[in-house]
Amino acid sequence: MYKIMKSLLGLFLVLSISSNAQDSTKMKSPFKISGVIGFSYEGYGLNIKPTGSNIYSQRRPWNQVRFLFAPTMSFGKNFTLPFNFNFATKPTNFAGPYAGIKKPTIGQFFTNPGNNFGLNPKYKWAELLLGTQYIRYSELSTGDIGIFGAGIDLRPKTWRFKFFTGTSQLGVDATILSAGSSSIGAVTGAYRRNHWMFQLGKEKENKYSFAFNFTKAKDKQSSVTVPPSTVKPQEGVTASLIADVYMNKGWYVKTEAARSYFTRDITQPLAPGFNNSFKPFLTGRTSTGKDWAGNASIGKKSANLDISYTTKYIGAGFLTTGYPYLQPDRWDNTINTRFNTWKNKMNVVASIGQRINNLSNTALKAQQFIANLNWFTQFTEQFSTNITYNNFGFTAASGFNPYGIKNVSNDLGLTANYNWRNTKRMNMLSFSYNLSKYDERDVTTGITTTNNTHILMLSYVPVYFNSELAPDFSVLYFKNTMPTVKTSLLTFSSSLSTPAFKKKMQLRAQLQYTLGKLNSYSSNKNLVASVNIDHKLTKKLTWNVFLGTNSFKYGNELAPPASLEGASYIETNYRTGLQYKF
Amino acid sequence: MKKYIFTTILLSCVYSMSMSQVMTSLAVNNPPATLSDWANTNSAVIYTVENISAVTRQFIIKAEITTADGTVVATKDLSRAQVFSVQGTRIFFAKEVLPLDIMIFSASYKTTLERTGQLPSGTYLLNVQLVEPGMFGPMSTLQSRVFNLTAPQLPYLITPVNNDSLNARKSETAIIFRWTPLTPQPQAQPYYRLQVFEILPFQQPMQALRGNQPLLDQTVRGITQYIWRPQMDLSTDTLKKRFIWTVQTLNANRQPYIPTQGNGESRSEPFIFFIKD
Repeated sequence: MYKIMKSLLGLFLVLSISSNAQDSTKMKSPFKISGVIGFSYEGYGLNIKPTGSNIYSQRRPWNQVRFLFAPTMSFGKNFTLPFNFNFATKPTNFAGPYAGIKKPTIGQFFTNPGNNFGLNPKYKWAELLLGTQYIRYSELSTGDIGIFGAGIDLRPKTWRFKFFTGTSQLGVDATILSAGSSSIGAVTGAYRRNHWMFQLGKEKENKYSFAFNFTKAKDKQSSVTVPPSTVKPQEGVTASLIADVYMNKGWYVKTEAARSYFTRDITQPLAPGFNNSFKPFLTGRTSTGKDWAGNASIGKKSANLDISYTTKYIGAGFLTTGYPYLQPDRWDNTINTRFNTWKNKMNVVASIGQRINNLSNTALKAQQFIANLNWFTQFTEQFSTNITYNNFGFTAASGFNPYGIKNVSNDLGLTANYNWRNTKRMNMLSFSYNLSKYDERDVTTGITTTNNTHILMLSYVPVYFNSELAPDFSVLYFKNTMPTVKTSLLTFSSSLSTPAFKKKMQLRAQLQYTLGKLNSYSSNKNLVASVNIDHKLTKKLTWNVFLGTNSFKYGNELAPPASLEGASYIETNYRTGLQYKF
Repeated sequence: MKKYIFTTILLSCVYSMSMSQVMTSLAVNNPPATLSDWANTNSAVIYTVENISAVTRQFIIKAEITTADGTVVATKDLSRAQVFSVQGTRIFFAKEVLPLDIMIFSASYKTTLERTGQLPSGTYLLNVQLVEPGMFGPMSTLQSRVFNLTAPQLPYLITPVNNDSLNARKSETAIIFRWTPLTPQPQAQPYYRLQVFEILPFQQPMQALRGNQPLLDQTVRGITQYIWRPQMDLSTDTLKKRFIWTVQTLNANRQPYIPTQGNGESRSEPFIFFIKD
C-alpha cells in the first residue's frame, strides 16, 4: 500500500513539473491536462478531564492521510483520460459492509467504499469504465453503490449501450460477538458481492430518453470464514424501463417501471412450488420475493415557473442491490412548484405531498403529510425577507397499544435582511426567528407532549470599500423546551478574513463562544476557535492549513458522581495539504 | 357382534396407549414477519417430541397455519415431508416443522408471500401434530398456538429534509434531527443510532456514509429527536459543506432490528443536507 502511495506522490511531483514546463514553453501541443491533484494530512487530538471518563467520544481519526488524483488528460480532440482517485490511508468505516474493519487486505483497500480509484478513457462516443464507478442508470435500478470493476459506455448517435461488472465488497470476516454485546464498533462482516449490469437505450438530449436497464448482484457464500451474524448471502435481479419525453414550452413526462427479484438468503431451499423465479438469471428460493416499483412525473419548466406532479410507488417486496438503503412499501405523491413574480423580486419554492406506507397490508398503515415553503421577497434594494415553513405529520396504528402513533413537526422561519451604505462601507444586518414545534403522542397514555424550539439570531456584516478586512458578527439564542427538559444556548460568534502577501494568501479566523444551560444546572461553556490559511505557492499550487480547537466545560449537569462536576474536554483538529490545479 | 366390540375397544386402547407414549408440546415466540426468517430463528417455533416407549418411533410432523376464524392459510405437503425417528426427547424448530419449500399456501396468501416474503399482518394459528408415515394417521394430540405477524417498518427521516440548505451560523450552535418511530412500537423501546457524516470534496454521498468516520454517532432510546451541538466551524468561503445522515434501528441487544431485510443494517434511507453561509 505504501508503494502505491509513494508512486502517486512521485507522479504528483512529475506532473507538477511537467505541467510547469508545459506552461513555460507555451507550445501548442495535442496533449492537454486539467483537473486537480493533491494530498492532505489530518490530525486529531482529544483530551478529556477527568481522564478515562466516558463523557465524549473521538469523532475523527487520530491521523489520516488522504490523496486526491483527479487530472483529465486530453490527447487531441477526441481522446480524454480522466482519473478519479481519492482515497485515505486508514479505513474509517462505521456503516456498510466494511464497518469496523481495521487491517484491510490490498483487495479490501481497493474495494473499500471510502476509496475511489476510477479511470474513464474516452474516445469519441466510446468510454471505458475502469476501477471504482458509481454507475447510475436510473432511480429504481442502480445508482447508489460504488463498484470496482470494468465496463463500457457506448453512445453512437442516439443509441446507448452500457455494461459494467465488478465487485462492490469483498468477503469480510465478522467479529464473533458474545451474547448481549453491542454490534457498535465490531466488524459487521460481509459476503463478497459481484455485480453485472447493462443498459440499452436511445436518447436525444432535451427530446426523449428510452432505456431498458438490467442489474444483477450475487453474494459469494464461500467468501468468508466467519460469516456476518445478521445479514445472509443475498442475490437480486432488477429490470426496469425508462421513458422520458420532453415537449414544447418546457413540458415533460418522465416514467420508470421496475421489477425486482430478490433472494434474502441464498442458503434457503429452492421453491419450485412458488412462482418467484426469473430464469435463467435467478432461481426462486423460499426467501425470494418479487415486486414492482414505479415512478412518474409530469411537469413544466420555464424561466419563471416550474410546476410538477410526481408519484413514486415502491412495493413491499421491491429490493435492489443498486440502492441498498431504499425503503420499500410506500407510495409518495407530491406537487412541487417554483415561481418568480413581482418583476422577479419574489421567488417561491413550495411542495406539498403525502406518503402512504403499507400498501401490501403486511405492516401497519402509516401516513405522512409533507409540506414545504420557501418564500423570498426583495422589497427594495435595501430590504428583503425570507419565510420558510416545513410541516410533517406522521400517523400510524400502534399494534396492541391503546393509542396510535402521531408525530407532527412544524417549523417556521422568518428572516429579514436590511443593508445600508455610506462612503466607507456597506452594512448588512440580518435578523431571523425560527419556531420549531414537535408534538408526539404517547401510545400508552394518549398524552401528547410538545417540544418547542425558539431560535433568534442577529448578524451584522460590514463590507469595507477601502479595506480588505471582511469581518462578521452574530449573536444567537436557542431555547428548547420539553416537559422535563429545558435547554438554552447563547452563542456569540465572529469571523475575520483578509488576503495577505500580495493576495497570495487568504486568511480566515473564527471564534465562537456558547453558554449553555440545562434545566437548573450551572452553565456549560464552549469555545470553538479556528484558523484557515490558503497560500498560493505558485499560480497553480496551493497550500492549505486549518487549525481548529473546541473546548467544552460542563457545569454540574453530569454530577453525581462529584468527579464529573466541571468535567471538560478539548478537541484539536489540524489539517494541511497541497493541491495542484492544472 | 361381541368380536367387533372387542376389536374396537382393543384398537382404542392401542391408539390411546400409542398417543400416551408420544408427548408433544409447542411454543411459538414472536416469529419474524418474513416467513423465510423462521428457519434461521430457532426461538420462533419450538416443538418438543417425547417418546417415552422403549421403541424408536417414526413419524411425520403435520403442520397447518390458519387465520383466527379457521381459514386455512397453508398446509404441509405430507407426501414430501421428512420422516423422523425419535426415541427419547427431540426438539424440532421451524425449519423442520414448517419447511416453506413443501408448504402449500392458499392462493391469495401465496400472492402476498411471493411478493413480500410475508403474510398479511394479523393473528394466526399454528396447528401441529405427529402423524404416521404413509397412512398419516394421528400419533399425538393436536397442538395449537396463536401468533401475530406484523412487519416492522423502519423510521423515515424527517428533518433536516433531503437536500436542505442550513444556515451556517445557526447550525454551528445546534441542528435538530427528527425521524419517525419504528412501527409498530415494540414493548421494549428500540435504540436509534443517529449518524452524521461529512461528504468531503470529490466524494459521493454514499462513499462518505460507507467510508468516513461519522462526526456524530449518537445512540438514543425510544426518542425520535436529537439536538446536535456540532461544536465546529461550519462556515465556508467557497465550497458548500455537505453532510449525509441516517438512523440505524437497533433492538434491545443493540443488534440491527431487521437483520435480514435489504442491507441488513436496519438503516433508514439517508438524507443529505448542505451548509450555506
